[in-house]
Amino acid sequence: MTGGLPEVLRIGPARLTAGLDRWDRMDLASHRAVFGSVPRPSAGQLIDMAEQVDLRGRGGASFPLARKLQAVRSAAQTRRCRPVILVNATEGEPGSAKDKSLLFRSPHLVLDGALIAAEALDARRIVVAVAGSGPHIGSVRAAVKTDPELAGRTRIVIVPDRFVSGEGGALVNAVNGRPALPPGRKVRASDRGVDGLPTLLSNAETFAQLATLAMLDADGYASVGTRSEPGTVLLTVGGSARRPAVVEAPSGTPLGEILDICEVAPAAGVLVGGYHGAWLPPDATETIPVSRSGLAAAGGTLGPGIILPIGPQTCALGEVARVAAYLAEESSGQCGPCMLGLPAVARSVAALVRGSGGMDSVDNARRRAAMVRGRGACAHPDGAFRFVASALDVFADDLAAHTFRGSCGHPVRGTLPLGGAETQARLTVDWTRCRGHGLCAKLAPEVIQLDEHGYPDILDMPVPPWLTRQAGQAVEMCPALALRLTTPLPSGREAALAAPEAALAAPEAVWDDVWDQDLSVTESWIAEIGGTA
Amino acid sequence: MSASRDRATQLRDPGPRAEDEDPPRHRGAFRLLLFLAFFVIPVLACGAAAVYTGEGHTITAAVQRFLLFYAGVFALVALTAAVGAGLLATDRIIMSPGHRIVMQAVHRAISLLALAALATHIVLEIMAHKARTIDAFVPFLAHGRTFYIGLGTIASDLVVLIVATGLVRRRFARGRAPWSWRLLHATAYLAWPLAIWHGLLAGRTAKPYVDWSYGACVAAVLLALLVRLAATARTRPSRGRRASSQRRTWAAAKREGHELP
Repeated sequence: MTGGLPEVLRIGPARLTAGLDRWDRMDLASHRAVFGSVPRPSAGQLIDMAEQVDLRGRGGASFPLARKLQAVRSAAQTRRCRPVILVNATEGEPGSAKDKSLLFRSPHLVLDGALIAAEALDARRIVVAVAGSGPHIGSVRAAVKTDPELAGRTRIVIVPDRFVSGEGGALVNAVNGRPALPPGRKVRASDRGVDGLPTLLSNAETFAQLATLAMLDADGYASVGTRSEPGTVLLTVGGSARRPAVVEAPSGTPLGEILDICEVAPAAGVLVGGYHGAWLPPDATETIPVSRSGLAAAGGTLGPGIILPIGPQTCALGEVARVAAYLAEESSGQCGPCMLGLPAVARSVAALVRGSGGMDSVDNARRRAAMVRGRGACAHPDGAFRFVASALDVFADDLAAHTFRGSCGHPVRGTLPLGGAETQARLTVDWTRCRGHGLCAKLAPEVIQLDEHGYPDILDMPVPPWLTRQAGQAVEMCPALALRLTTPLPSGREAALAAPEAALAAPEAVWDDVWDQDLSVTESWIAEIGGTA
Repeated sequence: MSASRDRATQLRDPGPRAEDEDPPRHRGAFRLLLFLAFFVIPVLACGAAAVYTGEGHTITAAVQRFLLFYAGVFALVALTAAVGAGLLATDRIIMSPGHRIVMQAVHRAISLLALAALATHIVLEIMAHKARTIDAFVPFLAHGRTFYIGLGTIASDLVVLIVATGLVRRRFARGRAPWSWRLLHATAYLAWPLAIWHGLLAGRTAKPYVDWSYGACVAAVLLALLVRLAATARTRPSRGRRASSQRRTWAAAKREGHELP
């Protein structure tokens, strides 16, 4: 474990994770020793290579990188301006750690990818967008300072650590100094991105993949993985895994093999693709190939490479309800169907878990989830639909138990990670004072609705920023003074914050002993990844 | 910068924080400009006109005379309306939650108006040498009509207290004794009759219809208050009744020979 991030494992040859079994963090010297110098392919060569291996964006949307490169190049040519490279390392998904791990432990690989793209497209500026706080920020900042080719032209922007901050349009907004919210009208970053210039916007892992592609060229890159999706994938395995890890594996590796090296006990269900992804039933997971097409055929999605198994010891539906509430809270509150629909979905799932929804509660939850599909400025509602609907399919037995007996008998253990929302205030009711006046439900219908007796049913989630005003009004106007905004005591929170802070100092500590280690590994690495070793 | 503080600013500020370059920050300046153009400059211009021009002097004097005559009346009328709106806002019989929210907002707005009128009334009375500064805060020290002016002082002190605690109602909801807010707020039913008493007898003699109107208001509020108390008692058994019912249960248990806690 380094800096609060999971360890890095690999199956098969090392590509992005090369050298990480020797170093905790690779500085410029060790990076060059392992990966050699930065190749300078032309734009045409780079596009051809990306086309040949069908390199896709690794942030979740899987957009072909070749088309993106092409679009940026032609936009820059027609407008006669120099494009910008924007590295999206915000990684807003709580279950994902691959980009942070790359930036923390192998920052120069990501930056090399950005540099290769910049040189090929004749871009002057490179922007690296990171979210929140953590050791990876210090690491990438140090990396930019030490690389003379990057120092003058690279800017690091810190955006709010929220789920939607990583959406392309929201990120461009944030970098341009506006609130990090998805724009109402789709603007492609390749047309108008940072400062209105054509912008190559892709995820951090994609740039690392691009770097290895340029270093190995298409044939070397395609020596592992499946024929249709060559290369490796970088996965984050968490949940009930006893050895949570960032895993690099050739695409097409069976999911069972990946779960095995992360020491996952037989699971009750496996979530693939993160909180915008889908659940897979446990019996099918062994042989499913981990690739875009393999997971899609099984009803899942690769997304940003998040794999979250959950064990039989936790209440699966309770976990799903927590995440549904989290997704509702992470709505940016811009689009009506999402800001009202996602709390409604979360409320139906919570009712299901409590057993208070009655016989049609499953139908209710599914209907409300389907209602939000495709009705927002970004894909957040669609992803939430996929997550909830697949959970209702996979955990059918639990649904029956909850509907008929009110519980499956397991506690909710919090196996699925949520973002750092614990410090945000929650609405709580003093039930001895509440007289069911019902003003609160009128003021903040998103979080508060009345039950059949007229008493408030408050969604168990922190009050999202866009609802702070209404929630405050509900507290202020409650005739019985029964409503409060409470902030939980930051007991566990302080420890969580202290960890990354301690780790911020780690990079320096690591550099000192880098020089003592054996640096002449370039050839062995080339041999290793070329598959000849 | 510590990670925790870093995180805290991130949560409060939705905008980005650039590391090596500042992102554009025009909007703060733009807002300041708007504030200057539409508020500060007009207010300063009006102030200058009132002080430096002959017409300004005439208008100021007329306004001052008018307000000396009527500010107290406005304060009392607004206070009456505030009491009525506040009382109406608690009604569950004819009003829906949505109406009650509107009524609560109206109640707040009128109360603030009443406070403003009250402040104007007090300042102008002091400027006209009909009262001293201390009479605005401490009752029964005024020369002449000591008692009736003192009633106004008590009422005004209470109104200030009620409005101030009303503005920080949220803190009472969070605090240990939410009921203390209700206790403080209920002093309005003391302050308002005192204010009426003061209004009818401390100044010029009121016309008969004014006496009748206030009498009708007091009667209406009394009636509404009785309805409210009756409705509250119906929906919520009092602590005494809850305690006595518990005593009865215990007594019955004792008779049957059960162990008591």
